[in-house]
Amino acid sequence: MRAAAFFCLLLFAVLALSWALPHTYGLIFVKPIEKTQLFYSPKLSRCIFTEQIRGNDPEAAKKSEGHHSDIVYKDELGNYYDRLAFEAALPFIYYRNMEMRGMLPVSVDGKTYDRRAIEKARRVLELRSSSLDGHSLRTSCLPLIESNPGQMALLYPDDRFRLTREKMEFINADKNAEDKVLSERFTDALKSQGFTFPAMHVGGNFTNFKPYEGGIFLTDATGGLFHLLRRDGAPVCKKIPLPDGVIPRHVLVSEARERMWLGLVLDDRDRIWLMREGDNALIGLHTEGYRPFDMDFKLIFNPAFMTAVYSDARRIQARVFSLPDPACANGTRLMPFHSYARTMSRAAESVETHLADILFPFTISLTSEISNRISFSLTPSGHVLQAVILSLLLALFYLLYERRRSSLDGWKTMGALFICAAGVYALIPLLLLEEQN
Amino acid sequence: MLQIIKALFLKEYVKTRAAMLFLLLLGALAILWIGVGTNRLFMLDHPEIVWYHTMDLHQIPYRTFSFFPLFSALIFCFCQFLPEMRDERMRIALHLPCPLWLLMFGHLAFGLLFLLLLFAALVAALLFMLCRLYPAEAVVTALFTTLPWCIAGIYAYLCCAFVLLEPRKKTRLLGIILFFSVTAPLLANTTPGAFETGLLPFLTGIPLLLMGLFLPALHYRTREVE
Repeated sequence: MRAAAFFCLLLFAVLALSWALPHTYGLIFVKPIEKTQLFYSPKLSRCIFTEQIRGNDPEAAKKSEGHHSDIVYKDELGNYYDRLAFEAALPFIYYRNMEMRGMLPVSVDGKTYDRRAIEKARRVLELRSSSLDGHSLRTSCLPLIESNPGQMALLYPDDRFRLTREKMEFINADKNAEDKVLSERFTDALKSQGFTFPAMHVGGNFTNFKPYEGGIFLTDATGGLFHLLRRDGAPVCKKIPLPDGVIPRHVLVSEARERMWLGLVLDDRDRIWLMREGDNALIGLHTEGYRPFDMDFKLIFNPAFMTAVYSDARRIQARVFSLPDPACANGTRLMPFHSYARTMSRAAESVETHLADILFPFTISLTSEISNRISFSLTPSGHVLQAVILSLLLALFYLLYERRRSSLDGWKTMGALFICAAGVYALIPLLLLEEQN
Repeated sequence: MLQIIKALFLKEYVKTRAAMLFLLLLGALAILWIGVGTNRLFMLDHPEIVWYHTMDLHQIPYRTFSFFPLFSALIFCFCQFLPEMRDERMRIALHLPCPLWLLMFGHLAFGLLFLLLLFAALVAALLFMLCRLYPAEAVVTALFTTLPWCIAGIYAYLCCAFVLLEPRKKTRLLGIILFFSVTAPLLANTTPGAFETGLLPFLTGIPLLLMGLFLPALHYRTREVE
């Protein structure tokens, strides 16, 4: 009984400390580094980026503004820039600063762009791994906003819908009860277009802070994609013609004033498609190496080109595409004219992170950048050999300490074995428990 | 064995009934206060806007409840074990002709049972109040938001019992370290419902710690009295 209690307590302490110690160590010693911001410069015809670094970079320090010496501006060839030169290389990003400095209109590839032209074309579509089904905490009871509110601002509806196995169910907020008439009307509209329940995914931009309501997109049980709009209170539903082999997994809707591109579609083969406003045609982007459940994806539009930037925790990649022909056929796939990939500064090891890898043979994490959900993950040390050596040394220290304090017995030997496996996580409870036969 | 358990439960009931009543009333007041606050949200805004704030912007109208399980568990644990440890009253119980494990688990089972019933009643009252105002999805989210707080309360009780039962100061420190290590992630400021898929590992830790609590009881029985 005593042995069982001892090992249960020890095991519990190891599990608790393998989250608490690395977490506390990280809070005190490790500086968190944001992801690198990577762009394509039309002025330099290459990728240029800015990132925070741990430690010191003398070249960056020379270009820095005093206390900002930890921020580096570089291009893909390794040239350093100061902040002003960096901004000047990205006139489509920093166009407001360019205007203040009298550097607009800007000329790129023989074409001239003023502030109005840039503003009209500028937009960003962002698909985060944490927003995908399974990683996101978005509610499944969603509003369907009226697309013809009869006024400038969109009105938030007084009901919400949920998709059950058999129907689209509307819940009236005033009564907190189902609006059966509305449920039936929308379910019938979907079924009349061939929609098969249950729905696998619903995509939409569920806010009224946008220029217009673009509707929602639903994937049905057979993988078909349907567009549903609420116009004058009635459903307007249509089936979207998909290119061969495309089964949508996620639809990102983002309405913009230019009304050219409605959003992005991620298919079940991890391919990204740009969705055209109006006919909902899909234009594919060759984004090799994109893993949606591990990576954040961003598509940055400029008047002259668009850049797809995607990154996991360590590496970032950019693919630069020419703007697609507005009349190109559904299913066209675009090839990038420039590509670049690099390991971000946040992946670089510092003294603090190296020390953590030696101190902690493994780490339990509850949160991650790729998901909003709490989930347990056990990550082994990045320097397993050094961590094992330290664990062995700690076990030896424990045995010597115990021999000096009292005498060695079976409990101490078991404790030492625990330290060999769990290092400092086992040493702390063992020293505090001082258990002996 | 059943008679011993019955006797133990009676002893614990007599000792802690005032604390139990106090915590029950305090909990009921907390839920009532949350109810008043939530109702007021619906008076100040249209229901769909309150739904938007809660379901889309992740505002939590029942945030007041977050530390209630933790503090109520600590209060109850102190009321249950402090009188026993003070003046060494626990020594009498430990010398009764029944197994040590039965005595210890009897004491802990009483505390755990009360806390489980208290938390279940309060969470049920909270969810009942919410389901009148919000759709089922928001109520389920509320359940998975409040459950980690209740589990933190259970761990707080067990760690506090560890610290109170343990006679050695150095070993008590382990109980305090474990208390902070386990309750911190459960009470962290996460998005509502974030624990929906991450609660099971926390639940499996409870029997481990419960079993481990036998150790401080043994330490107490075999301690050297000055």
